Amino acid sequence: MSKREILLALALALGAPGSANAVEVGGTLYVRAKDTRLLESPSPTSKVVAILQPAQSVVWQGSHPKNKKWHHVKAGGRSGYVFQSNLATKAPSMEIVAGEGAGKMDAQAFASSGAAVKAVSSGVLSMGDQRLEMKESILQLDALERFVQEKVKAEDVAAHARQAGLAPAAPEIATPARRKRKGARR
Amino acid sequence: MKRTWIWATLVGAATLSCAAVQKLATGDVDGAVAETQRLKQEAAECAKLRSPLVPIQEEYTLGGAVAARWVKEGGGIHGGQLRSAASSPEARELTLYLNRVGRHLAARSSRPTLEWTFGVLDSPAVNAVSAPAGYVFITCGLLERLENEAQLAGVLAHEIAHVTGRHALTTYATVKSNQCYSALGGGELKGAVRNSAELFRQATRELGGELRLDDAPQLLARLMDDVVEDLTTRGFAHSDEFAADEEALRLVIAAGYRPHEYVALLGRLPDGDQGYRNHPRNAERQTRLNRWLAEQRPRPGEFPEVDPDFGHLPVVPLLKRRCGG
Repeated sequence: MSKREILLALALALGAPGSANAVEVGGTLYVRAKDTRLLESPSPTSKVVAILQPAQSVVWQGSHPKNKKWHHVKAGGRSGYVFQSNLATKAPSMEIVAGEGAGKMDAQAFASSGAAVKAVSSGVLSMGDQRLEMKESILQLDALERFVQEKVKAEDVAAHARQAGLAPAAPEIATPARRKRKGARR
Repeated sequence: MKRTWIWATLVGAATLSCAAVQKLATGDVDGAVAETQRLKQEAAECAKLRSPLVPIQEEYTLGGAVAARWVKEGGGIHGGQLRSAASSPEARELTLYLNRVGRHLAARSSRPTLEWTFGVLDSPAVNAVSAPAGYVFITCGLLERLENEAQLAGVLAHEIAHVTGRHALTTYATVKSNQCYSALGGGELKGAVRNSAELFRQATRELGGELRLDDAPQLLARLMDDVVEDLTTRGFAHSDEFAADEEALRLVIAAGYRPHEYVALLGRLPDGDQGYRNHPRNAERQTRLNRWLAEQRPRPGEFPEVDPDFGHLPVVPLLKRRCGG
């Protein structure tokens, strides 16, 4: 089996969605959502102990006896509470990255890398130059992509969730510097 | 006798290329055998490209091309070029709303760090589609059929699940592998594919295996055409649709919506019609989802993957549903 095949098989095994694994107290859970808050007590307005990132592992200490949607966890020497939907029994999928440093990246490493910046690529824009019937659609997609990146902030998503009475979403605390992706024409 | 045996071997291997035939016709038997061996090796190399785990850079390019095609087929983005002065404030607001709902769901998916993009297509058809790299679209026609935000969340979550399950990428990987084989000489050479042999060789050799589509817009267009044709004529496997439905319920519950709304919506959508032509029958989907919901009971002492109180989650009124204002 080649190195590439081993890499792909490993990524599949680690990242493919599948049936839930049973995790008992003392077992490992994984952070799912970006900028998940580890809180001092089981309340969304409680003091933030730490900010956790996707794929980070935590040790499950059990659910809060009065509010079972909040879970007591230990994360890197700190302990606190995390809302249920921000935890999972399986780590998020690995992303495969080509070029320098090629290989699999967990969600946390991926999020802070330049590869995480999506854009309508130079190849797609060139395709529009060659297929004129696609040109306007490509320009509209490019405009949509940029519009969403400029206007939709994590704070807006969190505010909507709060107003609608949904599962709490953590506002983005620190936005990694946005870098121009290789091949993107902006 | 020797020649007959070689013919039988070459034909039996089903890898007789034009070059091998030419060599055989000129009496170059050793050359024909060598050519056939080369083709077998190339075919084995191309088979490596059958994994849906493509590098993210390649996924962005393929996903962008497929998404642009959905935009074209769907009558354009509602509001046109949203950053232009000609775009209506109503269309922008609707798009912002859709992205707030969609990103709240996607943050709980198995690809939470992908940059997700949600858009409205200006079509009266009742449909929703997705493309690799996190593109999700809903038509004006489907938006108008929704009764609440939980139903919208279900539709978006189903499409998110197709992306996280890499269902379109599975189709793409098969198309790509076949075209690789053509490009390397094992099949009929067609247009853009003929000139892309070196790109395919690079992809099969390098760790990460990126097919550099940005360097070959014609090849990109060809791959996009084949993927879209497959998706529109055959659709996803029914098993992928059922998996996307179950994952949609997980996401809807994790985001905090009442999941039953999505199941109810399925009963009001067209069956075997328009964009849902290839979907399993809605009644079967509802039966499976109701069974799945009934099975979600917490086990004592274990972390509950699904919120045990999902029956009491909110439905949430739709803030915006009409493309016309």
